[in-house]
Amino acid sequence: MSIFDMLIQLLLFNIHFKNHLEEVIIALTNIGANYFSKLEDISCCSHLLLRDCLWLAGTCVILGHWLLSCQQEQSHQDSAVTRKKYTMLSALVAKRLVSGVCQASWRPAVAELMTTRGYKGEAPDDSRGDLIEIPLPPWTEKDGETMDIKRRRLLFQSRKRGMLENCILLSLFAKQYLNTMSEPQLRQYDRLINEPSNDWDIYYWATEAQPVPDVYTGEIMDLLKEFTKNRDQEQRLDAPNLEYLDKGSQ
Amino acid sequence: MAAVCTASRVLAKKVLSAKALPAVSQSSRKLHFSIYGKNNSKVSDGISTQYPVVDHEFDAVVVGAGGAGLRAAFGLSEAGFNTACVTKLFPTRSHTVAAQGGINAALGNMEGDDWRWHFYDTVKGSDWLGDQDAIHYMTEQAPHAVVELENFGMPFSRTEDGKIYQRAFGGQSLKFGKGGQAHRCCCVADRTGHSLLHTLYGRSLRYDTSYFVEYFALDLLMEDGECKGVIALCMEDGSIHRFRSKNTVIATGGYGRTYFSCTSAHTSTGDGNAMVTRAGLPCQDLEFVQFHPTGIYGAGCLITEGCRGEGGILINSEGERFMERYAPNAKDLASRDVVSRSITIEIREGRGCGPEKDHAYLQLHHLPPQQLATRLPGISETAMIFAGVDVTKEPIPVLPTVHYNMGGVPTNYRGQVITHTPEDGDKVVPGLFACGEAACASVHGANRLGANSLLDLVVFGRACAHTIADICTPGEKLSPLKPNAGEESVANLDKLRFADGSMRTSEIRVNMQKTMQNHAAVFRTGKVLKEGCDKMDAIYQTLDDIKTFDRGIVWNTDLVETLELQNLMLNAVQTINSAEQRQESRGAHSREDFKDRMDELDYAKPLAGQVRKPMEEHWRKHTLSTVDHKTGKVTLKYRPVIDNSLDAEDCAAIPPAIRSY
Repeated sequence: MSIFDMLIQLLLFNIHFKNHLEEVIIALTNIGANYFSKLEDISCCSHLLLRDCLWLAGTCVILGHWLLSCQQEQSHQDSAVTRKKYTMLSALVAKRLVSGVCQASWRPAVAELMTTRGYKGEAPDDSRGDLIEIPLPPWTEKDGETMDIKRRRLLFQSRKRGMLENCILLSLFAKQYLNTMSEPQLRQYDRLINEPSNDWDIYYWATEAQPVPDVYTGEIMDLLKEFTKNRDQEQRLDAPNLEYLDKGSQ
Repeated sequence: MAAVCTASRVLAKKVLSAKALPAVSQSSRKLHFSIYGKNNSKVSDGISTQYPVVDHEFDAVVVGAGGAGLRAAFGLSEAGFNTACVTKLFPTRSHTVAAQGGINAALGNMEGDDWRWHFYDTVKGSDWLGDQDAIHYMTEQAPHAVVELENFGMPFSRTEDGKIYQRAFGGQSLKFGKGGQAHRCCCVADRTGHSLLHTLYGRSLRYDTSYFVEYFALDLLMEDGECKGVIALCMEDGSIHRFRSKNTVIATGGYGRTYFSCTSAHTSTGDGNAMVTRAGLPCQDLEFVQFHPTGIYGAGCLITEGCRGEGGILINSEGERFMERYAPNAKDLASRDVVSRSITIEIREGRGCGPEKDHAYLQLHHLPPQQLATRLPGISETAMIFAGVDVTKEPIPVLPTVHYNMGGVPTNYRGQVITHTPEDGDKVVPGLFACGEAACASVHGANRLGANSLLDLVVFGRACAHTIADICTPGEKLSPLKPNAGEESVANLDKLRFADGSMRTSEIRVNMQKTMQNHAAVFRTGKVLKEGCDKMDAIYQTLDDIKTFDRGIVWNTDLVETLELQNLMLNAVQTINSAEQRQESRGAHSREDFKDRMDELDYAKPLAGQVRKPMEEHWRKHTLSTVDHKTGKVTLKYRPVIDNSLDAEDCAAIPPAIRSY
């Protein structure tokens, strides 16, 4: 906000020079409008910068009007002329700022929505703007599926993941636990592997690299975390093949 | 015009009734059955009475919902086309989500930059096998593509003054290789791939794209050499769906799973390449398989090149930073094939690490822990779980692992699939397009540079959408299709579902993977390759003797994995046969018995007075392979490399030279 501080200084300095007040106000609105057109150039979508710009522009307008009203009080004879100047100047200020805002890629400054598909990680580099501003349709549980069909579906969905780490981890987990899960456990597992949008999140939760959001904590998450620790030190070089399901060979 | 079409589409949706499907519980997945059609989708008996077939009509069908597929689907929907996206995985679970590196673009935020330097780096990285017109298109469009993605909502990581942060990546230089390391890889912390998928998927939904998720695409519907759509199996209820369309885009990804150890997820099974092969069309340059230098020893999980971009180094058993000897300028950030070969040579000369001296070490513990935690957080977990190593204290054991397939479905720079004859040159296959790893444009040639793949996805995904928008208009009438189109695919499906031979799917798969790993790895020799070709041929024949155990039709994972195995086998036979024939070393294809590159002129010596060799006598050409999928016999033809850029004045083509880093 150092630019803002500079402008405050300039303003206070220039208040003594009432003749140049109009120029000062016009200069302020120009700066505000330029800031907005810069927004368009770099097409920035960080809502922090947008917030700063809005603050700056708003403050310019308020200050401008305040200064004009001061000037207006002081010169009663020219009140008609001053009023005309005041309205013209307000119109100018409003027009510059509104057009600047419209040109910039306007994004609604949404409050920090905690969507069920995103959660706060620790990487400061990641503003998670895409997760907040482009929410995906919420995941819904499937109705009317028998437990058998659910197990078959979850088997496919455990084995086919976005990256190798999850393929190995979840298919080994499914081999060990899927066929003996009860119905509420199956539902928990279904939610865990199908709702998160980023497969890496499931991996970070299982490895306890990042805290598990409340919606996923539970029996299944604990089982998965324990399984990931691999206390028996078994070799986990690849996903298992499907033959363990073949009842005929057993 | 587009508004009229949109209005009619909205009206048509309201008129359609839910279609009749046998024994299906009311589906709560509204996204999956957005049925559109001037004719109602109908159940047809044309193919088989046992498998009810549902027909759909769309303006465009995209197979695959990774970065390239989503970009194409989004571009098409935005242009007003009624688009279907058929995918075997939920879009944000495509293998693109694994991408942690970033997207290359000459934005010039870290230092002055020019896309022509990126063009030079890519041409050199491809070892002059890349088509320079496609590379020109990609590198010139790169900055626009990144700014466009940002406008869509991707939150790229930023520097302190608010510009997009760009990191160094292998093979990127300034001033045509003379200006030192370039920093042009833009990223979204470490989840660039996920952010790309999330953004594109979310935006495409606003344009009403129809997603058919967990539908396994079986084959292309070809008639008279024209592609008229795709036939797919719905996993949820076992029904068959024919997606009729004037434009089909293949974006199914690579086929890493042909090898025993690879960094790819179990979904990378080359489905698109196999569909194209079964349609009688050629695949290009399949022998060029990139071995990523740093896959975790054992499991094969990837340690991203971004680690080396942030300062990680490779060391041998003597603790030496050996890359300084092999690539004096670029060192650890040399091109991937150079680094893979260097590691393999170090291991073979006895300086490998570990008890069996069969891998190298990647050292990260000299970097500040803060930097590791913020810029590369996933690495610590992966190293701990799959290698048992704490990256802040010990180095990670790594080995070159199969990572990417430069080859694929041949296309021109506009994304249209082509065939080639020596008399007529390149000819477009009407109605068929390809983009992403499944395609071979060819921008990566014999070797891909890191962070060029995500760029390839967005640029050529968009190119396919633009080309379709140029050629067609939304709402065009479809040409008629034979009522029994696709019956071969259904017959094959049925055969596999009830297969009762003697070899299980997993056995055949492991045989194929081990053969490829032992016979077509980083360093290849003629004798070993020939042995591999014969073994692969024998393994291909065992497909007739396959045994599956799951006879169901709903969520039959065994059946899907068997279909994937068929696809992988087609890719594997083409890969090993093409590698055996190519008698030179170029990019990722290294032959111990033919160590040099064989171009039309010897570029190591002065060119004056040399005679240009005819195409039959040199190897700077693309391989086009076709397979008779009933017998497994591979036929190879060749196609010249495109050496001129799109605009010679704007960007001069780079003549071949010796490739050193």
